[in-house]
Amino acid sequence: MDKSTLDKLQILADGAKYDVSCASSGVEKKNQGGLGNAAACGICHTWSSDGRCVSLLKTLVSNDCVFDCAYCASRSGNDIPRASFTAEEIVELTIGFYRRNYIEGLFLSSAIERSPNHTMEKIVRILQLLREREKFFGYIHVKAIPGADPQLIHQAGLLADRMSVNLELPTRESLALLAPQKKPEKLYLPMEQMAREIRQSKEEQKSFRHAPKFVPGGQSTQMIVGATRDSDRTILKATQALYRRFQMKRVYFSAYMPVNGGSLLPSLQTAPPLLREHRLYQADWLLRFYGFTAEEILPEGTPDLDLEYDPKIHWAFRHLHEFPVEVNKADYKTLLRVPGIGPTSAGRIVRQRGVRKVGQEDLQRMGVALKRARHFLTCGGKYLGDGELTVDAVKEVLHPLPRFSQVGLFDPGQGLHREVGGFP
Amino acid sequence: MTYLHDGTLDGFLTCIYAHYHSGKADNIHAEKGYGYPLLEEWKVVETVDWQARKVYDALEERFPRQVFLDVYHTFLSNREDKDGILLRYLVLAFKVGADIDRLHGDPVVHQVKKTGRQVAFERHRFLGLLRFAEMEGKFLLARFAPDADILELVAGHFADRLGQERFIIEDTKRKKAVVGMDGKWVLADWEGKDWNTSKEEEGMQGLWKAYFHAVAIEGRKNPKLQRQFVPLKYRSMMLEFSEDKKRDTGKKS
Repeated sequence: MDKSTLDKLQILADGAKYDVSCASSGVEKKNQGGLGNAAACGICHTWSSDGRCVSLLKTLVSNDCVFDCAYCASRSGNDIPRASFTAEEIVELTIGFYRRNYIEGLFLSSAIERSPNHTMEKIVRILQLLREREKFFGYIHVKAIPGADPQLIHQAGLLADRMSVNLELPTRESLALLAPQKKPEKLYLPMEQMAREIRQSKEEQKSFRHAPKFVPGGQSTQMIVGATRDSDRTILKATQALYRRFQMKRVYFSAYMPVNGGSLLPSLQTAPPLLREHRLYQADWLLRFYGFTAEEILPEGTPDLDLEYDPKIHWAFRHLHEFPVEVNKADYKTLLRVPGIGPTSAGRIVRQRGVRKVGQEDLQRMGVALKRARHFLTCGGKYLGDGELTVDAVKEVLHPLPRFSQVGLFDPGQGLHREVGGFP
Repeated sequence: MTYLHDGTLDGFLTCIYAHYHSGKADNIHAEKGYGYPLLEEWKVVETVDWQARKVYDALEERFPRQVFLDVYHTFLSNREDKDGILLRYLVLAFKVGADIDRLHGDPVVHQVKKTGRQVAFERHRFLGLLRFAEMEGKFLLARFAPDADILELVAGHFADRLGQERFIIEDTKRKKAVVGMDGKWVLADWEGKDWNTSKEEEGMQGLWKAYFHAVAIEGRKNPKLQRQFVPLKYRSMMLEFSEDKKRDTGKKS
């Protein structure tokens, strides 16, 4: 029996929800005589009951998968309702939702239905209908299906704003264990192709303003955290490698939600490691906006991020000899390393310094989190902390909340959907 | 002396002109909502276009664009003392020149930048939260009641986005609306009218609600975090939260 659009939407949106990426940012685009535009800062339209931002209609084209990856809800061995959207159904939903300002655009993923090429062709078909027939200029993120013909990925890249291939697991061993049908080489191929074509397209834009844009919002990927024994250090080093090798715009982390049983996986009762995921995002932030390297954040012998203290202050604890620094002298890069100072407040300090000295009472107004920062700063030669700068003294003042009350206080969605400094 | 204006930006800028050319102001306020305190001297300043223009041109020519934006956004805020903090800011600005935009730690500058940011943030928030419904005759209607007077600030975004669609965005608090089509929009005084929704509207709303519930991950439920992003005051205009409301108040649909 044919399922209604509503039934399909419930099944296929449910299947896509573990994909973390929901960003609609990174592309500034005007409407060119159709429907839709895109804002570089990204726009969130609502937040679901798990506190995650909803910015795109995120759905699978199909959950009818030929693969049998142990961690995945759509694995072929699972007895679940299966459904596939027609291209027209997705087009109608996208336009219907977009006109009403429910969404910024579309996020299209899919199970491998029949074959990689068959699946990728369907994705390209939907892109063509939206862009060419409907003249839709809103944001579109699609998956590059590993194993699909590079020509299909090329076609998709000329129409989509962002593309992604999910690595899911950071090592060859973990992949072999849980997703034996996925080979790392196969996952890297489309990443490599996209990185290359993005570079080429940017290069051509310099000489020809109307040269076609390839994936102007860049590519992203995601890794599951907590399904295997991989350490934070392994994950963070993999993350850094992905940024460097493929110029990824974002690497997302997804705390593993046990959806399947199986001897290879954590038990179904395991709670998702949300705090760990949060710390990884903080570390990722340090890689992208603070000039840290993975090795600085987690040196040899430190496999995992501290759950009590955030990675930046933890780094400062290990480098106390480099502090305190002088607000009116330290360069931008040094200021960025001070706990409690971020790119925005560091920028403000540097800007004001050019015309007027920064006083102690200015710092709070500049957005510096003094509770943390003062222990690491002097202002006009005066130390802003109390007494001596030792790890214990700082911990004494900052004493973290008891562990049980931490969940719910931190914000796992924080900054998740922002790319460059964020808004405002 | 408190200068009173007609509530428009031009009116406010005329007061600034008067501050420099016909006697210092200690404060500025809109006539509407002014309390006429006994011990305060006040004077109504009639809006004069060319005087407002002069102040505006000076802001454009002598300062980075951001300075005008901060002033404009702060002026749209619903802060009772917004005109006063803007007066102090502009007096300082005309004294120190373009460097004003770099004095992030200065209390006078900080007030204006912070207020301007709040207004810009409210605009940004509503770019996402505003909901259109399709009415009979295929036009789109959205209603909202923002804290700051941001209707004009959101108009351009939706006019570009919606292309050939005809749309109305109504500020129910201020009884005005933006009417747009073909990338253009006009501002009008507005008394709310009732229209019927189109045939397709209910179906599409049902699909959206179903989608909204399907994307939440049960094992990560975190209503506190959700409330931080979507404060309760915005939920009445967002249909995906309409069922929560009914449940909360115990009313039947």
